[in-house]
Amino acid sequence: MGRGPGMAPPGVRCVSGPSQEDDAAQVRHQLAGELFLAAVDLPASEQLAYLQNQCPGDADLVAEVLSMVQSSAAEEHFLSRPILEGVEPLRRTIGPYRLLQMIGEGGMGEVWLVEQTHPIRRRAALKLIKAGLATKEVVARFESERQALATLDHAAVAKVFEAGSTPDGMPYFLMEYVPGIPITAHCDSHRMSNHERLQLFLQVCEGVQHAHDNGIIHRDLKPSNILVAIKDGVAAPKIIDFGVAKATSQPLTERTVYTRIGSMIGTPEYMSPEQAGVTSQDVDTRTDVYSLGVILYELLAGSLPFDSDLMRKSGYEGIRRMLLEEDPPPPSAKLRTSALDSQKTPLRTVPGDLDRITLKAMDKDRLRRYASPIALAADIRRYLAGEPVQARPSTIGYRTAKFMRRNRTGVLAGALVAAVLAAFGFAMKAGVFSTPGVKVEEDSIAVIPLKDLGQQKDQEHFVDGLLEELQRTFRRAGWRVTYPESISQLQDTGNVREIGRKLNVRRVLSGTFKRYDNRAKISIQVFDTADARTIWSEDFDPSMSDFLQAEGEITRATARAMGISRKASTTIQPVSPIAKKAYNEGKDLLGRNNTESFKAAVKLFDKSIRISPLFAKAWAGLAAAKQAQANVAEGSFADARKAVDEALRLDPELAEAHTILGNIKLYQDWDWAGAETAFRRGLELEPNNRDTLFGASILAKSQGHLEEALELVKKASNLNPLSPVDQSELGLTLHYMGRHEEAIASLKKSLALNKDHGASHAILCRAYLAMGDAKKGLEEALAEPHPIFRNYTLAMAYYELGRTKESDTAIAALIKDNSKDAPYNIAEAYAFRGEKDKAFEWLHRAVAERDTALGPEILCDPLIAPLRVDARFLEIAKKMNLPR
Amino acid sequence: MQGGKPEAMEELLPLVYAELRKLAAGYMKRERPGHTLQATALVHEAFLKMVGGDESAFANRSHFFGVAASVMRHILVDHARSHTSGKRGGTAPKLQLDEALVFSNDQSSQLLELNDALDRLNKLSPRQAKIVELRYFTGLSIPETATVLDVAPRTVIREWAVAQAWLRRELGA
Repeated sequence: MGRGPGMAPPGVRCVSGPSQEDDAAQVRHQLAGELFLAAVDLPASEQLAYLQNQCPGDADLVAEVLSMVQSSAAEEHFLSRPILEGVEPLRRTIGPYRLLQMIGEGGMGEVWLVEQTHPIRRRAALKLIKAGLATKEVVARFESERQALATLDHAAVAKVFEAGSTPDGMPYFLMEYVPGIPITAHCDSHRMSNHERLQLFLQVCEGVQHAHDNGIIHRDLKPSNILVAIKDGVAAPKIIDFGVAKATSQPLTERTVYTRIGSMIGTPEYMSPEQAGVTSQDVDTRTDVYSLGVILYELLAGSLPFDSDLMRKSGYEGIRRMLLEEDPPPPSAKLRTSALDSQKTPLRTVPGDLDRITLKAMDKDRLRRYASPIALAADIRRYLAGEPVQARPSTIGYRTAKFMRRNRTGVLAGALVAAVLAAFGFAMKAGVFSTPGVKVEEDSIAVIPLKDLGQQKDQEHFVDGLLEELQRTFRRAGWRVTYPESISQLQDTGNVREIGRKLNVRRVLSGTFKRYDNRAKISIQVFDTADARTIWSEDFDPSMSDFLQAEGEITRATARAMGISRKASTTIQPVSPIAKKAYNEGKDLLGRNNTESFKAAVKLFDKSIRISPLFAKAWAGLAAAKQAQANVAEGSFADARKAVDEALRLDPELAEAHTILGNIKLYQDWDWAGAETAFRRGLELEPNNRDTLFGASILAKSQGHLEEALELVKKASNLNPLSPVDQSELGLTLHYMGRHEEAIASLKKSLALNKDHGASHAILCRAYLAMGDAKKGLEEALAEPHPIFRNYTLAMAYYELGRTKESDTAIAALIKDNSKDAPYNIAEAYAFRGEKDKAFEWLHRAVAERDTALGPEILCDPLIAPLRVDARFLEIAKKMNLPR
Repeated sequence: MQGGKPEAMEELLPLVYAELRKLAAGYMKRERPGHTLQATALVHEAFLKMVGGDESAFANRSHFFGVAASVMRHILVDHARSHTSGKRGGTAPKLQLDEALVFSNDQSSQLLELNDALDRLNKLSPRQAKIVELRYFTGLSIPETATVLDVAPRTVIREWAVAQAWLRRELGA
C-alpha cells in the first residue's frame, strides 16, 4: 500500500538534540527509521524532496535516510534470508579436497565431485572405497602401478591422479572428473546408428590398448566406467577407474567374502570367465577384450547377452554355469527378440559379420578371442570398409573344446562360488539366503554390562545406551557380537577365559562406572579370551551434561582401538536424556518377555517418543513391543507397522527396524518376498544380527528350505549360545530334517539352560515319536509346561500308545481352551491321528485366524506331510501365497 | 528482553550455549550436503531437550528463544571467525575427514562485518538488534518474533525493515 507524502507522520520533524549523546543518537536513529519508512514507499523522484522538506537544515540526516532507502531498493540481500537457510550444513573436506557433491554411490563406495585447493586448484572425482579392504595394501598396490598410470596419456583415458587414505582408514582414489553418461545410455538417447556406435567403440578400444601398451589392465570395463562427454560439440568416450580394480581386488577368502556381503563387487555381466573363476594373477589383457566384447554386444543388441535378472536370480551356481557354459545368442537374434522400445532405438539390424566379431571378442576361451583391443578394432574397421573379417563361424572343434571346459569347471568352483557370493548375497530361487561361513575368530566379542561402583547400585540403566551403541558399532563392522540374552545367562562375568569358551568369542569387553552428580567415571577394558590378557583399556571422565556426546566418543574410541573405521560406527542422534532413559528401561522390559512387561515397555517407548519424536530407535522399540503384544493377541500388528515405518523413515539404516518389518511380513502378512527384502537389508547392515538371522531362518523354513534354515539358525544360536529359545528352534529344525539325535541334543541343551522353557519338551516328544519311542514321547509331553504344547503332544503320544480315549480328552481340552490361538496345533494333532478332514478343517481355521505358527511350519512340518499331497492343500497354499 | 530477569539470563547463557553447540554439531555430522540446517529446528529441539519434563527451568518459551537467539549469533560468528583465522599454512595439510558447517570466505567476512554492525545498531536500538538476531540468526517468522518480543507483528515488520535498511547501508550494500 503506497503512502502519499501528506500521510507522513506529523511528528517526523527534525528537532534539536537532547543533552546526552547516547540518547541523542537513539532518538536520531528512531527519527531516521520513521523517515525511512515514510520515504521508502514514495516514488524515487519524490524522495529527496520529501526528506528535505521534513528535515530542513539537517543535510546529514537527509543523506543518511536517502542512502538507507537506496540500499534497501536492491533486490536480494543476504539479510533477507535466515543465515542457515543459505548454507549447506555439511561440506566435508578430506585433506585438501572439499567434497562438493556426491556423484555416484555403489557397492564399492561413494564417488564425490571435489575441489582440490592444494597444491593446485582443480576439480576432480574422489572415489572413497568402503570399509573392509586392507587400506595399506590397497594403497601399496596402487603405488606399484602408479608410475605406469602416470604415463597414460590418451584422449579416451581419464587420468587417475593419486590414491591415499583418510585418517580413519578409508582408501580413496582421486581421478579426472568426467561430466558424462555411460556409453550405452549415450548411444540410446541419441538413437545412434550402428556406424556411429562403432565409431565411439573404436575410440574405447584404442584407449584400452594404450593402457595395455603401458602395462595396465583395467579389469572392470563396463558402460558405467566408459563415460561419454560432449567436448566442443563432439561426443568423446573416456574410460575411468584405471588402476582401481587392481588395487582393490583381493584374494577371496572367507573373510573378504564376509565383509563384502551385500555390497555389489564387480559386475558379473561384464566379467570374463577366467576372472570369475581363478585367482586374479591369471588374468591378462584378454580379460579386457572379453569385457569389450560384452559392451559391444550391448551397444549392438540393445541388451546384455545374458538376462541380468535371470542371472541374479539364479544364484551363484546359475551365474557360474552361464559364464562358463552357456553360449549367448548372437546380437542380431537378441535384438530381434528383445522388446525394444522403438521410440528410443532406431530400427537397426546387426549383420552377420558384426555378430561374429562380437562373439569372437567374448569367447569363453581367451585363446580364441582377439589377442588385443586393437585387433578387435582392426576387425571392426575391416567390417566398416567392407572387407572380409577375421572372425569366422564356429566349427565342430569349438563344441569339443566347450565340452572339455565344462568338465574343468569343478576345479574352479571354489573361487567362483566365493566371488559370486560376494557379488550377490542371496537369491530367493536358489534358496532364500546364503550367508558366508563363520568369521575369523578375532572379530568376535562379548560386551559385558559395566559394573556399577556407586554406593546405591541404582544406576543399572545409566550405561545401557553406551553398551547398545558399542554392540551396534561392532555388528555393523561385521563382528560377531554375542546376543544380550546369552550374556545375561552368564553366572560368572569375571572369568574371561570361561566366557570365551562358553560364548565362543575371542574378545570380551567389560568395565566399571560410577556416577557422580554431574560427572561420571567410566572405565573400559577389552580382553583376549585366549590368555585373559588386557588388550586395551581406557578411562573416560564425561560430564553429565555432555553424556550423549560422550557415548559417541567412547564408542568411537573403542572402535578405533579395535581397528574399526569410523564409517561403521553410528552417529548418535540428539535425544533428550529423559527419552533415552525411558528407552533403556523399555528395552530392558521388552527383554523380559512376558505380557505385563510388554505393556509396560509400550508405555515407556511412548514416553520416549513423546519427548524425542525423532528418536528412531524408540520407534523401533515401540514396534517390537507392539509386535510382541500382537503375537499374543494383545495388540494390533497395524500399530507395530506404523511404528516401524516411522523408525525406518527416521533412520533407514536401522537393522533392528528392518528385522521387525520382516517379521511382520512373515508372520502376519505372508508376504514372503517382502520379508526377504527386509531381512536381506537388515543383514546387509548388520550381517551378524541375531534377530535378523533368526527371522531369516524362519522365513527359509516357511519356504521349505530346511538346509538353509538350519544354517541360519545355527548362525543365530552361535551368536546367542546360551539361549534356550535358539536351541529349541535349532532342535525343531533338525527334527524336521529327520536328524532326530542332533535335535534331541539341542533340545536337552535348551532345557538345561531353562528347564521350564516352553515347547522344548513338546519337540522332544515329537522327535521320540518319530523315532518310534512313544513311551519316552509321552514322558516328554507330560513334562511340557506350556498347556497348548502339552495338550497337542499328549494327544499324539497317547494315540500312538493306543490310549485313544486320553488322546481324545487332550484334543478336547485344546479345542475348548485354544481354538482361537492354536488352531494349527489342533490340525497337527488330527493329522497325526490320520483324521484328514478334521485336520483340514482346523488348517482352514488357522488360515482364517492368521495363526502365527502357520506360515513358518506349514511347508516343512512332517506332521502335515500327508495333507500337502492332498488336492485340498492347493486352496490353503493359494490363500497363503505359498510357492508351488 | 521481555519476561526474563537479566540475572536469570546470565545464568542460562552458558547452558543454552552448550546445548545448541552440541545439537548443531550433531546436525552437521548427520546431515548430507543438500540438506538445509535450520536454526529454528535447532532451537526448538534445544528447548525440548533442556526443558525435558521440567518447564520451570525457563520462565517461558519466549524467554528461552530470546536467549537462544543471542546464542545462535555467538555460535555462528565464532564459527565464521575460526574459519577465517585458521587458514592453512604452507605445509602439506593433514588429511582429515573434517565434517563441519562450512562458510565460504565471503560468507565468513560478511558475517563478521554484520556482527560489528549489529553491535553498533544495538547502541542505537536494542530492539532492532534483537529482531535481527531472531529473524536472521534464528530464522523466526514475523509472528514468532512478535510473540518473543511481546509486541505487535506490525511493529516487527516496521522495525525489521528499518534495521535491514540501516545494516545494508552500514555494510555498504
